[in-house]
Amino acid sequence: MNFPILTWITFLPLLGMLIVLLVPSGKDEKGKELSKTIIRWVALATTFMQLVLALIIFFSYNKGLTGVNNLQSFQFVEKLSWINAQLPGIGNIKIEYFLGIDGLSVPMVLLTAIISFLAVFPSFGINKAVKGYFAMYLLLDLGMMGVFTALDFFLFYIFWELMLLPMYFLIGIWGGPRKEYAAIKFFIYTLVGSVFMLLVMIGLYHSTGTFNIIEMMNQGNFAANSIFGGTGTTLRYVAFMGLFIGFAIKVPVFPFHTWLPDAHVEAPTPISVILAGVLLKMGAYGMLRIAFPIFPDAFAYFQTLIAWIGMISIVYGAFCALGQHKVGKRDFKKLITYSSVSHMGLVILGLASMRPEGVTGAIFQMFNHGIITAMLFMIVGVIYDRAHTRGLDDFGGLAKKMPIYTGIMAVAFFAAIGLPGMSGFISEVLVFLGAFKTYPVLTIVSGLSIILGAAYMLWALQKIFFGQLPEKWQGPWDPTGKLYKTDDVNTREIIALVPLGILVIFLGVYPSPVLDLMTGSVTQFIELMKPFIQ
Amino acid sequence: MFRLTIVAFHGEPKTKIASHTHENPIRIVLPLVILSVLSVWFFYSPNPIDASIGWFHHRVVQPESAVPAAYQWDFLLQDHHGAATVEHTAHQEGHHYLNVLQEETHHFHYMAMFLSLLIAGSGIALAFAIYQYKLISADALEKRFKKLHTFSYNKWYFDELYHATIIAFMLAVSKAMAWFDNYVVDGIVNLSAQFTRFAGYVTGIFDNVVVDGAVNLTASVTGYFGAGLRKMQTGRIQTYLVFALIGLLLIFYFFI
Repeated sequence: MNFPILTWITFLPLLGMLIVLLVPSGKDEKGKELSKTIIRWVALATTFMQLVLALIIFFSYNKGLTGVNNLQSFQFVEKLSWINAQLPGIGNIKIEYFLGIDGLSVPMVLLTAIISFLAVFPSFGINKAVKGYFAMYLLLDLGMMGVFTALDFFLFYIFWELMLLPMYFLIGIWGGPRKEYAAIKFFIYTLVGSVFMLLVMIGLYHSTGTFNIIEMMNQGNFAANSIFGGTGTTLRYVAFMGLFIGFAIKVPVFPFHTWLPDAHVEAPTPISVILAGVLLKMGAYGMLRIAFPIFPDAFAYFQTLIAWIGMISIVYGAFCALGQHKVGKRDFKKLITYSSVSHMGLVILGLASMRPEGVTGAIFQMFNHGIITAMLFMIVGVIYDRAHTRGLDDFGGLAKKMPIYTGIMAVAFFAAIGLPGMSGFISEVLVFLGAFKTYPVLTIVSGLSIILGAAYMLWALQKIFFGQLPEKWQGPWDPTGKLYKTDDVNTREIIALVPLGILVIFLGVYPSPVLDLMTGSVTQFIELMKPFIQ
Repeated sequence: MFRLTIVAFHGEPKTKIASHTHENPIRIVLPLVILSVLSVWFFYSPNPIDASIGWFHHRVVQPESAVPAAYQWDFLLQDHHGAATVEHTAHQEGHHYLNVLQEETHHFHYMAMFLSLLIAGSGIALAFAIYQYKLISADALEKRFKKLHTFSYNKWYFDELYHATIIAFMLAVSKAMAWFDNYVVDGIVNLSAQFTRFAGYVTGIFDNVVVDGAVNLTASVTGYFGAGLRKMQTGRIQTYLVFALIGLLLIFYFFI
């Protein structure tokens, strides 16, 4: 295929951003409103086209090709020389514009396109500095898509950092009461991880003479006396840990997760959706694409530690989510945030198992968690928009007032618990199947945390929907009748939520469309790692 | 079960609602009838004490033994004479037992059946005695065995026990973990931020006082000398001539 589809899917948001910035603001009240509407629809159209491109990729993707460490079997590859400088004394610095996807990245590209498109709908509710918001939103979209398509480490790093900037402003300007604190915490915490990554990247460049991720996976490309040469050296272990921590902050896993509750609680709804839906996956994807295959010997050395970190995240996140019912202000968003820590721990456990079922389950869990948590955050957004509070104790008996909303929420909640018939169940089972063979005890302990998951989720469901409707919510949400015509969810919210609900149930019953994308690549990945694992 | 049957169905209606009850519609009766038929023995076998002649017995695949393999110890698998595989034909009814295990299990069959019938029968009799014929007063019994009654009435306090142990424990753990997360883990993060700010503060003071101080010191020293030397710039030719003369004298003094 000659059409550079990956460039298009990655840089389409930039085009949209330029159009958004060129829309005139309008002079009078009416003109301003028109300008806002145009900007919103431009963003929607841009992300929609991106989704169409992602679907084209999905349907034309050849499942027989494996990728991972084999350049020939990557698909939609684009490779151009970008920075090629002859420096006296140092040599030739060669950085390529190198894009390509395989089974590890296709599900993520698809997820990014779906979430970016659907999160535009709740973004319609943003009324403050609309032009700036959507410009930042589209830039964020560009960064995320770039991370999942880049195969040059330097390019990957640029996209990784590029995504930080819009996120900082999106939380810092459009966020809640403690937005400045949350924004700077998110930025600095992620930057700490990025700095580790940058240092390791420079070391890798000096060892292999390339920024090409695929060539770095070939241990033969490491010069014998370079800093990362050989196998099982202390320096390689340190470098692996540097990369691992850099990615772990993003996942996030215990104990690097505390930026997440703050960022989520303060971020506006659509940004929480993106944060949980896509950004967290970048960490796990980084491990899968960079940290593990480049340092397989170090992975083998730390494998048990990583499995422990996964298990601790699962149990710890679940307990903290449950604890939200008893400590301080019981915030709905915080509850879901900690459930995210728990569910992303499953991804780490699945990766640590280094078995086909476990790794497949981990990637599928990344996809499912993206869909389910995006749904959950949109659901929180629905009542927060109306009631301006997220306190679990402030609600009750909403089922009578909002029956459609309750139905959608029940689907999302049961999916989050991992009920059979929902997509989350398939990935959880695959992870546990794989992990049980490598780490039976850790898996049993992690499996027990499902009970905690059911406890905190059902508890929240009861608190919000059953029992007595509080006095203050008895009347309509908006007495003027301008914002909300009915008590239930409006059409815009249904359009955003229902496709996600359908995906959750469809993939729960028939997961093959997504699983088939990755099986070949996962097998290849395991083959690459196997010689290093005892 | 029989207390329920007697209280609910026998005797006169006790409440107003009860006197208005009527027979259920077919959609409830039909499933009940099917379930009742399925629960009676003659559906499976005409002989209540021998299942082997019924169709059901032939249709289901029977396990080798109801005793799990782990509990089939070697001594059980021998016959009375200690031989491992000899078929034991002591019984004339036509039953063949491969080993002690099968034989002993079979002996318990009838006993288990009669014992359970006896216990069930006495329970039924007791129910009739108390609730149908009122031979024994239920209230008196309740008073007599007050503690037992409360214990049974509260379902052995199972829910309370569960609440006090497992649920309370889980909630305490979750509370502790949420606290730990909020104050310890995040505390370390914020502490490192505080530390960095403090380091920045100290660096700031150092920069302000020492580094910039040195710069300013240079400036003020220069300025001080400048201020001092400025007084010499009087603008009068005579003064300059005197300075020039002193300079000349000094040169002569030092170099000649």
